[in-house]
This record gives sequence, structure tokens and C-alpha cells, in this order.
Amino acid sequence: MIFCSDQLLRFVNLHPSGFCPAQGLLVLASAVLVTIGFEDASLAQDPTDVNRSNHVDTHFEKSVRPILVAKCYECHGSSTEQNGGLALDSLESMLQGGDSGTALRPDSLDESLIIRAVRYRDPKLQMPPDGKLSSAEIKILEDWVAAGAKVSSDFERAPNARPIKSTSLSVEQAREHWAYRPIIKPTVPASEESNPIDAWISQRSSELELVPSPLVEDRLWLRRLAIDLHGLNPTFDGLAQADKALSDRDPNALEMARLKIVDAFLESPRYGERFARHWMDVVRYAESLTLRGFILPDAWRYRNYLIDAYNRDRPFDQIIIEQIAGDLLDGQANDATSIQDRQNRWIATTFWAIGDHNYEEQDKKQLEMDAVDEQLEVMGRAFLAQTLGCARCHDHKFDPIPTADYYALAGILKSSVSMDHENVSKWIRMPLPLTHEQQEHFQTIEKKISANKKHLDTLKQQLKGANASLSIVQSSQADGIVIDDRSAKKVGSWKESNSVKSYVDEGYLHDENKDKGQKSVTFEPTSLATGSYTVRLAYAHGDNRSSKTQVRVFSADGESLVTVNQKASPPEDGLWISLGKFRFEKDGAAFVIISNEGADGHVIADAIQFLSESDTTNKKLLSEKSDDEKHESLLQSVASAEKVQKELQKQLDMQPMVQTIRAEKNPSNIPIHVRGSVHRLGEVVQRGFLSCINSHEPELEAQTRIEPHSNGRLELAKWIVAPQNPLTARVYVNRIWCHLMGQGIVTTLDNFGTTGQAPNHPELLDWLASEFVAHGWSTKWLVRTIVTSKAYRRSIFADAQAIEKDPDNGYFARSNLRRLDSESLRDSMLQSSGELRLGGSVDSTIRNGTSADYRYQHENNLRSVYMPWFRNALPPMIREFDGANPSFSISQRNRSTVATQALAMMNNPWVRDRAKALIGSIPENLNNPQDSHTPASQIEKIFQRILGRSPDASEIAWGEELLKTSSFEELAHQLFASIDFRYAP
Amino acid sequence: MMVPRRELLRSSACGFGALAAYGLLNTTSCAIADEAHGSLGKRIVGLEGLHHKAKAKRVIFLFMQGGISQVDSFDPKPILDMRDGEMIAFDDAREFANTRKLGGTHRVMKSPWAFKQYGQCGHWVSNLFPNIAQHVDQLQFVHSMHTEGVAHGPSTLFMHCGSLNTVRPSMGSWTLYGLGSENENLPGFISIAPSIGNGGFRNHGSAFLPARYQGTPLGKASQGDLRIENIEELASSDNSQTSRWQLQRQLQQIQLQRLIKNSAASDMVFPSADELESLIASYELAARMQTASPEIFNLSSESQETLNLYGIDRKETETYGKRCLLARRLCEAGVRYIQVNYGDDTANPAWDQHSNLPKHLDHATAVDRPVSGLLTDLQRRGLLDDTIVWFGSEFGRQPYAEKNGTGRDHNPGGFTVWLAGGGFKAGNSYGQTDEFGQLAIQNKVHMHDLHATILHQLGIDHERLVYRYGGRDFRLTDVYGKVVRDILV
Repeated sequence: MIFCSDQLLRFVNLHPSGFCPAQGLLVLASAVLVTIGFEDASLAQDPTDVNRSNHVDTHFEKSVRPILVAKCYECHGSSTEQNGGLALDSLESMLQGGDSGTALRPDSLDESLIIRAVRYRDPKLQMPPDGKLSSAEIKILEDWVAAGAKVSSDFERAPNARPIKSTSLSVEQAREHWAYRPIIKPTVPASEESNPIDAWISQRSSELELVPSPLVEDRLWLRRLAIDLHGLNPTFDGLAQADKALSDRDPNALEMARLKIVDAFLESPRYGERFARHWMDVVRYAESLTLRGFILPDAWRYRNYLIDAYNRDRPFDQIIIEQIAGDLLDGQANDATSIQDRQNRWIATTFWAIGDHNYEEQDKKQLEMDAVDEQLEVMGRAFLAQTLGCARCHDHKFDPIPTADYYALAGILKSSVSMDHENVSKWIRMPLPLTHEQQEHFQTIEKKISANKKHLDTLKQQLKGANASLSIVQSSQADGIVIDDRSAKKVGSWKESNSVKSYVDEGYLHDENKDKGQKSVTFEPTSLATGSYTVRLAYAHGDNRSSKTQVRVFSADGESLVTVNQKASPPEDGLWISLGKFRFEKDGAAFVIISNEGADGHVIADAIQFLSESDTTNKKLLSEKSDDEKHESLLQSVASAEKVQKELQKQLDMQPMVQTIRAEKNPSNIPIHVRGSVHRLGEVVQRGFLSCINSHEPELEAQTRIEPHSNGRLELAKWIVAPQNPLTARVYVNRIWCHLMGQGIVTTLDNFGTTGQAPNHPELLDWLASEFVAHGWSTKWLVRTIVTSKAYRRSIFADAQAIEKDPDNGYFARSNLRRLDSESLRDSMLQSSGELRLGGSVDSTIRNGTSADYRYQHENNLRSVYMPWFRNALPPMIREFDGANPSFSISQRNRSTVATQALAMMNNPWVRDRAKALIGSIPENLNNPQDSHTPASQIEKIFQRILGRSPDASEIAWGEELLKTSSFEELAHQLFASIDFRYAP
Repeated sequence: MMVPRRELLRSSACGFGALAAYGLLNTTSCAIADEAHGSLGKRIVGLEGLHHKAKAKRVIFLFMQGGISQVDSFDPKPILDMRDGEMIAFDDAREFANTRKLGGTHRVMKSPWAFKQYGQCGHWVSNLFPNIAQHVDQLQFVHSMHTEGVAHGPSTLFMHCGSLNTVRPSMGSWTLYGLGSENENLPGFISIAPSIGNGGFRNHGSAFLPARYQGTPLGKASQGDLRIENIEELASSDNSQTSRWQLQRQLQQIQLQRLIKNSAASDMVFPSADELESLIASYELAARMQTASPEIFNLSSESQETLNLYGIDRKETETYGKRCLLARRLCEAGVRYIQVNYGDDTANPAWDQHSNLPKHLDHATAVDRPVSGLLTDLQRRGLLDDTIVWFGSEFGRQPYAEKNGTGRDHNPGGFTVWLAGGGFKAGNSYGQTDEFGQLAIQNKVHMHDLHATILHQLGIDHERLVYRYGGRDFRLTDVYGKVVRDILV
């Protein structure tokens, strides 16, 4: 059994409640507390320890030790278990501590972890796990530590702990395991077979006396090609065409014709769509997150990148390098690459960025390391078929991967940022490289946006002002005659302010609440026609203002004192208070004095207004009207500026972005996280790679050493594709083999470790791997080589004895029954109904305005690979028929046969609609079978459209029986559900 | 794509149609599991158990999404009344996760609801749950629950799957994987009205376990309609439906037999015949599900008394009442694991009263009578003995006001769940929180422990129910969990 807890128990002497590999949780120790008496405790002493004296500390023995024995030893004893590496049965081991460091600091109560744990205040450190000690017990322990942690002499030294064993293959012995041995191209065995694949397979078959199955006829071979290379059933017309091409009787000409057909398949864009999808499973491609259904709007670029890479048959080592470090390749000196290629490098790095992280995790350190762990896990599986995650908390139990290697790799990933933190952290989006002109275009838009925003802000400010009933009034625009404080005569020191609205012009004056009776401000109009005026005072009110500000009005009738409460809001327009009506004569006394005499708070002096009779009558009407007009036009300006802003933003949104990770300015090595915990850090590890490979490849080690200032991913990429790396090419050719042959040469596609399955055909695997590399990492070469082999053309029927000898078909003497996977099933149905939309370039297919993926209704008739790949809402047919779970790296699809699939085939309206569309697209009037004279010919047509062949007699009979009670539509529907549509022999 | 044979055998079906004709294959065919079978290819019936004798056959989990406040429901703390309004230092879980600091001061907030003692056991229950309170003598309260995570997403996933961030199979999937289903016509794991938020389908997903162990959603959190996708609920007398399935079976047989005949004609055998037999069997099961489903989902056969018992006669309790009644019917039909959700699709689901704590009353009103009705109904039908009823949330709430406001923040450090039936003690309380009701301090029960204990009652040893994925054996409780024997009869 490969289980962490058992392994820990069996080999490392740790209780299962160590640190969880996945979460770094705190331990929960086992339940039952064993009460061991005082005498029993002494049995745990080491009888061989001859140096101990016989000092007995009475307090320790009476009070402290019994607590330790009863409450701690079950999990923290050297003779029981040492959870978290901690034993508490000697002073020495307490001081030495466990994973979290020393448990006891006699000089510091608060820093003694044992005290911290029993106090139960740290949610991540509470001991004993079953329940808190009594406060008396806690006190005893606290007092004991505070008094210097005195112990009896027999408690000082640690008894001999059991040695820690490890069973894993050591780094030095790594090459005892086949996968860590260098790839050496084997010599093809002599045989009459022209394809080396067949040479090896027939050699092994004859050794094992396995009778190889016969080759299938071309029609079956063609169907296999169509499904495997394009993910589509062949069409009736396509098959007929191929029949013609393969009609030649001359064997050489026939072989040539076959090669031509294979090449045609490889040249079709359908090929890239099919093979990219396989890789998308491996890199857990998705366009949304499980968490809150967040949409990843840029992921589709990565999908297109992969489809394009496969269709152009770009060398796969380049694809690997770009996925791992494309961003770091970009902008290197003398980079003469085209913009498209530069963009591709960035887009490839989406590989790292689309993990299904829980961005709302509140412990951000934990979140970051979980993200790194996910990245390492995907990378390890995808390229190396190694389960690196096992080494996060402890040395790998089976494979030669020490924890230090994990953190050497993790340091590389930690040298790039995967997210910016907020409550819900955010993944990284960056603009793609652009041509100079494009860049200028977007910069211009950005400038326009910022200018327009400024304009908009001003307008909004004004609107707000207008709404707050003219909170700032311009003296020039106000009615009557207004004298602002700036034009007033000041006595004493007055301070300007504008912190409280409303006010006239730029602000108001206040007396700083000082020197009462010594300050004044005099407002005097330059000239005033004779007449009666309403005099108003403007002030910005507030709680700290004077409630009895004295204002004196000097008019033709002398001096009048008005006391104003400036704490209260001004009654008129929120700004003014009327001081009364006064009569003034031309050149006579006409001024207003505000003083701070007798004031009980800040005195405010802002402005004085003189309103004549006519001003007053018109004022209300006028001001309201002009306010309304002003308001209206402001509203209009705001609306149009907002429209412009939206338009500009739309243009800016056209700027191509990429979801990626961001290289840190200061890359660094990171420490080992003890038992995977982000809060318990050990020794810092130099960034690097798997020592089980590098320790045997000093040259590779030297070539890929990571300099302190270097990010490290470029070195990682080079290390992965290096010819000395024995894993990468083997892992990749094995994947392609599996896609075509139904199972891998190594059946555990993503586990080449010691717990994986060793290959039955190691030489074949190595020949494929070395030739693949020699052919420039060409996937098309590899596919062509496999599908033109005899092995690919063997029947699924087999000799009974051969099945008995090789029930799992590990030696490939026969073929496996093919079944359309979810995408092929959906796409083939659309093809049959005549609705499949092919060709053209496809960008994002997510409907505009989609803010979360929940319950997304998938509507398009594009190939499945182009559908929005939503983690909470996979297209129904994909979800139902074992589509890959996009939260994981998946190497091989499940192949389940469950009733819910049957229900979907028979009842899902989508399937029904395809049948409807198919019948609708057949020109003859087939809607009423009873009227048709030759239902057999119509039955034939429908069979051809769906199964690519004509029905046999029993199927015609079946069809006629069906048509007695049902429609042609039902006939088509039933054919979609049938074996021959979904399975290929 | 071919999967290793052993895998195929595990994931395909058998027992329908003859396989004996295919020579050596008949020796393996009986090991082929059909969809009702569990991990070992055997279907556990009765109380036989997978690893030891079971006390319960099935689980009904009443999930109160968002976090019920323990100090306002089942874990009264008089000190909250005495010190209401005081600013006191607490160790806040969110604060700790964000800043790794402890001991910020918060305003103690008393419960707006009065508590009363009920039953023989005298357990205190607040006015929120006057009906559930009538059942306290049947319930096993666990007041010392604690769990992982601080936010809904991680904690909800942890409660369902035993893991915060990584994708893992849900508890119902593990259960089905271990025991198989008692019913051949219905899925063995059904989640009624699940939320799409906070992990969504992952909460009833099978992750790396074979797909047939995943939970089947029945309806949605946001709407009342309860049905299984792609089941056309037609009366069993509808001939056209029946004949459709028969026609499909005929066609499949024609095509399968042709393959077998062709292989025999060239003196060979067709080793994949069993996979296609499984396919045919899956269609037969689907047809049976379709026939059985109207019977199960049609509540109109229930008496008015029963409908009233669940509160289906009242607007405020109708929705959850129907879900609870359906749960009983599924229970009778032999469904292994039934989750009855009370929640919604938002980021602050149902019970999540960060502000306006009194809103708890709306939710309590909606579930109190239906849950009480379910307990009564299970009891009187003799179903409670071998059914585990689990009532609880992903975490609890703090005893102080959040940000000095009117609600309470999340609290993974201490909260209450209760269990009934299935060999759990009745009228019993276990564990304690501190004097304020914030942190579990005595007889602490971690979520892993609760998982282990429930599996134990189903006859499963949580340490031995494992599945190998990517070179490692996984289990629901990771490397943790202990069976809490003190709460078992």
C-alpha cells in the first residue's frame, strides 16, 4: 500500500498524525490517553546510561512529570512515537525540540512552545489535542519553566531513540530503476518487418509464443485513423473516396497510397485540434476557476497556441521550453523574432497560470505554496512522469526524490509570482508584446482615457456641487452684489480655509478661535445705488463655530447688530443667512463688519451679498431656472463623457492580454518547509533539479546551474529537454503511443517512478524516444511511424491462447476496442447532422458579458476543443462521457459505462436536436414514413450518414420495425446511441 | 483509449446477459461490478459492513450552508449576556490566517434568542429551533467540533471532501465506493438542491474515483424543481418510452452479436465483448431508473398528515419540507448517501450572517419544522435505527460582533453539530467550547474525526478505505481522523 500514514508508521516511526502532505494541517493525535503511573515512567529510562547521578527534584517528580507522563508521552515519547519529531521525555530532547524548533526555553516562558501549546491560544498549536489541560496543570507547567525547568537527573539525557529508516531508492542507486537510466538508442532486431515497431513487437510475440492478430481491412484502418488523428468518425463519402485510392492491387502502390492518406490526415487542421486536446488534458486547461466561477478570459490563446503548434508540427522541445520559460526568452538581446512568435512565447506560459487555485484562502503564504505545489505537480506529471508532490512533506517514500529536491524546484517557481494578493487574490494578466504601431495605438487610447477621466471627474465634481445646492458659488455669477472675503479688509490674523462646503469663490476665513475681540473683517461694496437691499451673510457652518458671531451692518439708518449662530446650517441655499433688509444711499455708509468679539467658537467670514428689491423677486425663479439648466447640461456632459470613456475602454480591451506568471525582480532560494508547513521553515536549498538525474550527469548539472540572479525557469526548461534527461522524451512518446494504441508501453503514463508499471517493450520505447529526438521532436513523424505499423492495423479479435497469455494486451499482439471519447462523440454527432462548423480562426468563444461560469449554456456548433472550457459548467456531453476533469493533470481519460450516459444518449434534448437536424437536412421528404414507398432506401441513407456504412438485413428489419411506431428522427436518434456509432473495432 | 484491464473490470457492469460463451472470460466476468457495487466488487447489503459490522446503512446529511451560530442555537453561554457589549481580546481565526496575529479586541454580543431546557436530557436549545428541540432526547450533540479553513470555499470543501484546496472525492462518493448501493434503480449518492457556489459540484464529485461514484444532483439550490437530469418522468405505462429502450437494446444486440460472430468465423474470440455487455446493462439500468423515478419523486401519494408534518402546507417551510420528505423516500428506496442542502448560490450563503444576526431566524424557521418532521417520520417508520442523520454547517460563528457590527464572523475553531440514529447515542452531549463558546477545548472533535466516526458506523474503517491515484493511496481522512467512540452506543 502506498499510503503516507502507513509509510510514516512503518518506516519513519511517526504517528499518522504528522503533517498532512496536502494541507499542512496540525496533528490530531490518537484519542485515548493512557494514564501511566509515576513508577511506570521510570521504566522508560535507559538502563545503559551509566553516567547519571541520583539527584531527585521533588517538585518536578510530584507535579510536573506526572502531567507529562499522562498527557504527552503517548505521542511525544522516544519509546512510543515522536510526533512532529518531538519527544518530551528528557530535558535534552525538549531543548532539542522537534520540527517546530525547541520546545523549551527556560529563559522565556512565552517562547517555550510547550507552554504555548498548552495555553491553547494559538489555533495551530494546541496540545494535548483532545482537550485543554486544567488551568491548575497549565500553571504548574508555566511555573516550572519560569523557575528554570529543573528536573531530576534521570530526566536530563535522552534515552536512545530508534533510528529513522528510509526505504526509498537512494539518489545514488537511482539508476537501478529503468526510467532513470540514460536513453541509448537500441539496435533494431533483424527481421523482415520494415517498421522497427513491428520488428520489436513480433520479436517479443514470438518469444512469448503469442499469435499476432490478423491485419484489418482498410475500411477499419481508415476509421481508426479518422478517430485517432482527427477525433471524428469517418464520413460515408470520405470512406468511399479512400476506397478508390486504395483500389490498387500492387502492394507497393498500395503502401504508397496508404502513406498518402496518412499524410493527408496529418495535413488537415483537424489533426492539431485533436492532438492539442490531448495535451490540454495534461495541462488541466480551463477557462474558469471552480472558485466563484471566475472567468479566465485569456486562456483561449493558449489553446490556439497548442493547436497551431501541433498543426505546424513545431518541435516539441521548443514547445516545452516556451511553456516553461517563454516569457524569459522574450526580450533577450538581439531578439529578431517576429511579434507573433514573441507573443507565442508569452502565451505558452499560461501553462503555469491556469491551476484551479483557491484564491480566497486567507493564509496567503499557504496559498502561494499550494499554487507552487500544484505547478510542480502538473510539471512533474506532464514532462517527467514523476510524483513530485510526495516530496513536499518528506523524502519520497519510493522514488529517489528527497524533500530538498522538491524545494530546489519550488524555489524556481517561487521566483515568479503567480498572483497578487487581495481578499480573493488575483491571477496575473499582462499585455502581450505588440508592434511599435500597435503599441502606440494603445498608448494613445490610454492617454485619451486618462484625459477623459480627468474631464469626467471634474464634471462629476461640478454635478455633485450642483446637487448639494451650489455648494461652491462664484461671486461673479451670483445675484446682486457679492463681496468675497478676498476683497474684504481684515484686522488681525485670519486663516483661509476651504475644508467645509459651502462657500463663495475659493474658500472662507476663520479666526482660528483666538484673540477674541481683536479680529474683524469688513465687507464694503465699491458702490451701491440708493435703495433698499436684503443683506445676506455666507458662512460655512460647523460644530466648532461660534454660536453668537456678531455681525454689524452699517446702513443709511445707522448701525445694526445681528448675532448669527454659525454652528447652524445657513437657512438659504445651504450657504446664506439673511441679516435683514436695509436702506442704503449712494456714497453713504454701506459696509458690514464681522468681528470675533464675544464669540464662543470659530468665527467664519466668507462673503456678504447685497440684493436689491428686483434681485430678490427674480432671485428664486432665476436661480432655480439657471440651476436646472446648468444641472441638465452637466448631466448631459457627464453622460457623453461616460460614453466616450466606455468606447475608449472597449478599444483598450482589444489590447491582447495573456495570463501568465511574473518573474520576480529578486529571485531567491527557499527553505525546506518542514512537513510541508509554510510556517515551519528549515534549511535553505539551492535552486536546482532532480538529483537522481543530475548526480549521475555532472555535465548536465554544470550546464543548467542556476546563478543567484537568474530566475531559474529557463534553466529548468533546458534541463527538461536536455538529451541527458532520461525522462522527457520517453514520457512524451509513451503518451502519443497511448493515444494511438489505446494503452501506453508504460501503462502508468504519468508515473515512471518505482511504483509505476515497468515497460514490456523497453527497447521499443527507447528506440521511439531516441528517434523522436533525432527527428527534431516531430510529433507528426512519431504519429506517422506508429499508424503505418502493422501493430496499428491488427484486429481486436485474437487467438484465445494469446488472450490467455497476455490478457492486458501489454505486448500489442492485437488491437484494443476504440471508443469515441466525449469530444469525438459530440463532434461526430454534429458532423453526421451536418451542423459541425469547421475552419476559420476561432478566438474566445465565451459569450460577451459572462461574468461567472455557473450554468453556462453551451450553444455553439464548433468542435468541442473550442468550446468554453468551464470548470463548473463543462459542456454536458463532455461532462457526461468522461471528459477530463480540468482541475487535474489527466493523462488518460476514464472510460466509464454508467446509466447516466445511457440516459443522456436517449433523453438529452441536445441529442434529439441532432437527430432532428439530420433528418431535416436530408432533401427527400422523410417526415412521414407511412407515406414513403421505400422506407428501406431512407433507412439506408440515415445509416450512411451516421455509421458511414449501409445497414445489413437485420438492421433494415430493425429499422422497419421501428418505423411502424416511430419517426425517422427517432431512427437517427437510436443510431447515435448504438454500439457502432460509439465504438470502433 | 484502452484502460488497463483491471480498471475496466472495475468500471464496467455485469450480471446482465450471458458471458459464459466467451471461453476463459467467464472466470473473470463474475468479478465485474455493476453500478450498484462498491470498491471490492461486492455490494454490501444489510448491516454486514465493509470492514466490520455496521450500525447504519445510510446517511442523511442536512447541510446548513453558511455557518449556523452555535451560541445562538445549541451551545448557550450565559457569560455573553453578562458581558454583552464589553470589548474583550479574542483569538480570531480570520485575523490569524491573514496576519498570524492573535488577541484583537472584539465586542461581546449576546444572543438575541432565549434558551430553554428540553426533554429528559435537559439540553438547552434556543427559540430558533422550537421543533427540533422536541427531539433532543434522540440527538447526539457534539459541541467541540473544529475544522480547517476560514472562508466558505475551503471549509465547505473540507467538510465534504476532507481537503481544503486540492480536489478530492467527496464523502458520499467514498461511501458509495466502499459500500455500493442498495438500490439498482437509482443512483446511490444523491445531493438534493446543491449549491453551485463554494466548491460547487466538487462537493459531491468523485474526483479521481470512477465516475459512477459521483453524487447525482437533484434540483438546484436556487429553484424548487427537484429532478434528475435526463430522466424523462413518464408514467411507467407509457409504451412509447418502454419500446424506445427495447428497440435500442435490440439494435445493440444485433451489433454485438455481429462482432462475436465475425470473431468466431475466423476462429478467434472478441475480448471486449464484456465491455459491450456492460454498455447494454447500463441502458437496462437507465430504463429501470426512468421507470422507478416517478414513483419516488411524486410526493402526492403522501397523506396530508405527512405533508403537514414536514411543513409542506406552509409557505415558509414548503421548500425545505419537500426536500426532507424526498430524502425519506430516497432513504426507503435504499439510496446510500443523501444530502439535503439548505443554502444558495451566493458567496455569502444562507446562514452567513456577517451582519444582521436576527436573519438567522428566517433560516431557522425554514428548516426547523421540516427537520423535526423528518426525525419523527424516520422514527415512526423504523428507519432511524439504521440511518445516520447529520445536521450541521461547514463551521460555526464567533461569540462577538464582527467589526463591532450586528453580525458574527466565521468560526472554524468551535461549533456544534448533532447526529441522530445510526447507533449514535441519544440525548447526549459531547465536548465543550470555552466559556464564551468560541474555541473547542474539551473532547475536541475535528471534521476528520467526524468523517471517521460516520464511516465507522457504516462498517467502514476510514484508514482502510483507500484508492490509488497517481502512485499514492488516498483516503477521505488523509492521514488523520479518529473514531469518537464516546458518542456511539
